[in-house]
Amino acid sequence: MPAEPFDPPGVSWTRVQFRLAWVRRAMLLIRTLLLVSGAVAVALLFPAYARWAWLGAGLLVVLSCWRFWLIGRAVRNLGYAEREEDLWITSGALFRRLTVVPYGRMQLVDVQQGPLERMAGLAQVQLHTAASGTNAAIPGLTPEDAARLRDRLTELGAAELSGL
Amino acid sequence: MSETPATADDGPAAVPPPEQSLETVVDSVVEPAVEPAAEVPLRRLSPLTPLARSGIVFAAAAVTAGRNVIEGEPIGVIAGILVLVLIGGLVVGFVSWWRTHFRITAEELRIDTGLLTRQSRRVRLDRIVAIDLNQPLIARLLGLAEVRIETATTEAEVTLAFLRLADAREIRTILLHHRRPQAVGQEHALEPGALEPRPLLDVRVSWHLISLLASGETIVLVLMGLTVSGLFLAGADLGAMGFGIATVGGVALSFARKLVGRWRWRVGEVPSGVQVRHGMFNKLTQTFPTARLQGVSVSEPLLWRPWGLAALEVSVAGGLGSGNNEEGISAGQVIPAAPRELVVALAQDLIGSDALGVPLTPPPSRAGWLDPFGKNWLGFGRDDRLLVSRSGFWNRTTVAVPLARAQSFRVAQGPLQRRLRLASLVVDTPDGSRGLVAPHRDQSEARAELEAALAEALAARSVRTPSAPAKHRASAAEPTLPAPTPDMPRERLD
Repeated sequence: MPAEPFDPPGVSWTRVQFRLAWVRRAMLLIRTLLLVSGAVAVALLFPAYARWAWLGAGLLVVLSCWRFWLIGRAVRNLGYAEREEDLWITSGALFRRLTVVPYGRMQLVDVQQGPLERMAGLAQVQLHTAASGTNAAIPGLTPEDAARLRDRLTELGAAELSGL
Repeated sequence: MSETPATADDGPAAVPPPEQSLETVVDSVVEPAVEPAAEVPLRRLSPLTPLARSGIVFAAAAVTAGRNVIEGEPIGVIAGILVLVLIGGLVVGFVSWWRTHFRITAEELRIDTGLLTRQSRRVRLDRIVAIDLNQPLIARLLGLAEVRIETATTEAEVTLAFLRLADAREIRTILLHHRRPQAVGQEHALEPGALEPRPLLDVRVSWHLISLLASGETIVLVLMGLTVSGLFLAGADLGAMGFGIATVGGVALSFARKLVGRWRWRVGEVPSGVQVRHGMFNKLTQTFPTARLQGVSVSEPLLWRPWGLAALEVSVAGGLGSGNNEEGISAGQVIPAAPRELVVALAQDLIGSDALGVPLTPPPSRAGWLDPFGKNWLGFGRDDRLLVSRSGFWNRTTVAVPLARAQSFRVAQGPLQRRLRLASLVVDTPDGSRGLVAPHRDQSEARAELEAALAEALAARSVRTPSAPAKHRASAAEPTLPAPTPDMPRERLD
């Protein structure tokens, strides 16, 4: 029995590329910049509300710094393990999750790539079962890894299903 | 004429009038005449269908018209429009009836409809999830019923409307049996006598009354009443009184509607599973095939517990949908309210095991920090076939999910849970069912349970011999539902 609930099922987790954190941080930065510039605009245009706008902008900056740090932890926590019968995925920094999907339950495997991810050379593999609650995604893979994982998962899924 | 407002009873039409058929272009254009001589004859709907259909539309139109007359529109014009609606409805109804044929073969149900754009819809019988009989008021007066066929997809509804009641029952039986071909031999259920379900439970009116009265609405109502009488005594103006009376009236109306919807709630056993019939004016029949059961849940709201009442819901793979209808009856409701022992007995019968007898272990006492009210009821247990979890203070709910149906397994831990070294175990079941959550377990235990459940689920999936579940059935108190379990491990993913 493992002492820690998010320990790997075997020797270790296969970790994802850490540059995923930088992709996410870039997105965070863009969002924060947009919101803060909005707040600054309000502060300059409506002096009556300037105090609140500056307060909001300050809060946003603090919150974003915290998120910036959290993203690093979340990406370091991301990992997966391919076992004989099932795929294990662990994720999350604040809210930690460990998801196990038996290969026999996979309905679809998607590979996705957003524009920023493409620039960083990353891709995400997402598994779908008949339950939408499953929500099993592995982001931060190199496109080659993603393709390899997808092929392997579909292969295993088909083999498992045919045995049923 | 298509602009005429339809009542809720009218529902989505099985036979789309020509102007609706744009969406069916994909699988349209099939010539029924080219079909090779089929061993199964083509059938038609009841010739009274146009009457039932236009009757429903006409009733709705009449209500609208009546409102307009009250509002001072000239009666002659309104009456003329009404007559036009009636004639138009009859013509459209006749044409769609005339162009509609259906046929049930060993593999599929096929419905051909449409005047200009022909549509031929085929439903593989093994994809059928549930079959309902529905009798809107006007159809009932004419002795007709519609057959609603639900498949795993929620995109397309398949309806045969309308058929003579006896025909509708026969078709339901045929469809239910074709769906489980291996069962037909054993159950000789096509005999007329077998059409009538074997009664399992009739819900008494007193149980309905208690369950409806012992609800949050009643508390609100009582508070309202007290406030209004207080205001009255204090000499408040009539405006506040009027508001109070309107609210009380509204709640009373919703209460009456719920009671009407639940009237004569009978649970019976049919060869394929369990059948529920209810309704005072709008009689509804729903069959839950045991072979597709995804889980059962027994709920005991706080206010019912002094009376020992409980409700039973099931989840079935695919198309039951979710949410409640206007009478507050959820899609998988088998028993709206009954004494707990009866509910538990039926739940165990359905899931084919001593589901609620699986010993539940409570979480560590530190879980009370996160769920101070419900902590005494939290519990999780497992045997070789089922996962069982109980939770909830306001609505204590016991959920049992067959391991063979689990889609994925999760351990989840929030920041507070981490401080307390607690974690929740989550098992996802297919959409439409709720899945199972065991909140606030010790984190090591949650992980160990995840691994154990995973191993058991693997074993449960790979075992396809009916022997293992049959053992459970034999041990059940009364052998009510005939051998539904051989199908249990069957995949719905096909």
